[in-house]
Amino acid sequence: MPHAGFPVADGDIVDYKWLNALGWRQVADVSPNGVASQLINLPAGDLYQGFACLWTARTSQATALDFLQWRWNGLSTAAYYMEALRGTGTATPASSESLAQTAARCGLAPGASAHNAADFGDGVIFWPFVRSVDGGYACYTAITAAFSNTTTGTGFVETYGGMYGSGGAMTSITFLFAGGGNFVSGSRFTLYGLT
Amino acid sequence: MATGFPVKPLELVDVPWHNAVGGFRIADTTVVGAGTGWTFSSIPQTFKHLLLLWVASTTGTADDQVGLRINSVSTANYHHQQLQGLGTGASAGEGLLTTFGQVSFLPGSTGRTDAKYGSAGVVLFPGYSLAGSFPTWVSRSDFTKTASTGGSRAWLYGGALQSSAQAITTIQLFSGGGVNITPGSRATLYGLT
Repeated sequence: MPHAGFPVADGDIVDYKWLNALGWRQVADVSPNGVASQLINLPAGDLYQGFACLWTARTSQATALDFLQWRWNGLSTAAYYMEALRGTGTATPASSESLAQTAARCGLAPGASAHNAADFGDGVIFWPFVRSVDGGYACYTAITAAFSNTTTGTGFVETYGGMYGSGGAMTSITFLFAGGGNFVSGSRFTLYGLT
Repeated sequence: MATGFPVKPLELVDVPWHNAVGGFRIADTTVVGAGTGWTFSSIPQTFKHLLLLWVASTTGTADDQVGLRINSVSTANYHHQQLQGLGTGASAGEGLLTTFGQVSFLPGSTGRTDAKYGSAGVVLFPGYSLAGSFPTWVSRSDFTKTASTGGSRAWLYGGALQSSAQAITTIQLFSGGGVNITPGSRATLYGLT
């Protein structure tokens, strides 16, 4: 099927203005398997206004669910701040915060104790107006959903906001699980630069 | 001056465009007559993720669920979780072993103070082509019924079809109550490269 809505074919030469018009550009597409962290290096220079990442993941750890986290430039200094709002089952929604942490929570993923090996979590994370040459704080916002069974209280949605509070130029993003498990085959992260 | 990309005006570049351009519109459908929703079939498996944007209202009198089916599966294997903001309160809800998933509600005409009020949302299907996982989605949506306190709602939804692992090739978005969607309602499906 042709890619409807974009009137060029593979290999065409087009004016660069198309690229600015299109908004999102893929920076990296990775499928970690059997590793505890996934590093994505960002392109050098002032190419993008910010970044977005769509992801799906599962952890090898023997848990029903674990938290996905991200790190700025691989740094594990206690400078990550996060606010979360959770919905599960019919319970009253709960908010929580994490201050001065070594990584920032940004998603939920099922683990080896989930009811089926096909349970994966997913979500999207935005780092708006975080440019590779600016320095300053890296604020982010994210949503996620994960299901570890078919029974009440085993489905979760969460939304997050937070930041890395030490500044510096942003050169990479690292994803890892809070519990230290490995990414399972089928996990995938696609990072987009926002023009 | 265009910024954000390292070429000059009128400079020609060879576009490795599968990776360069981020997203493509796969289909865009506006309701023009009687109909209860949209079906996007034969979805290409060449993208990394899918994004569905929609805006809709209902011809019915009652508030109506916005339902979602994957690959035309109608067995009771859908599971959804919602987080709702209504006025100044928040609540959570779930659907277990249902015959379709849910991503929002449409405001019915009863108590609706303006016929133009409706709902809008975005649904993401990360890793939709992965055949080894259950199809899942995460969604944000809103509806407005009146312009007064408690007249609007905002939702965060997540859902899964937990019957068997499969890639997503068909998406149906429709009125859960089987009521017609108002003409002018629109849904656009994008593939993200």
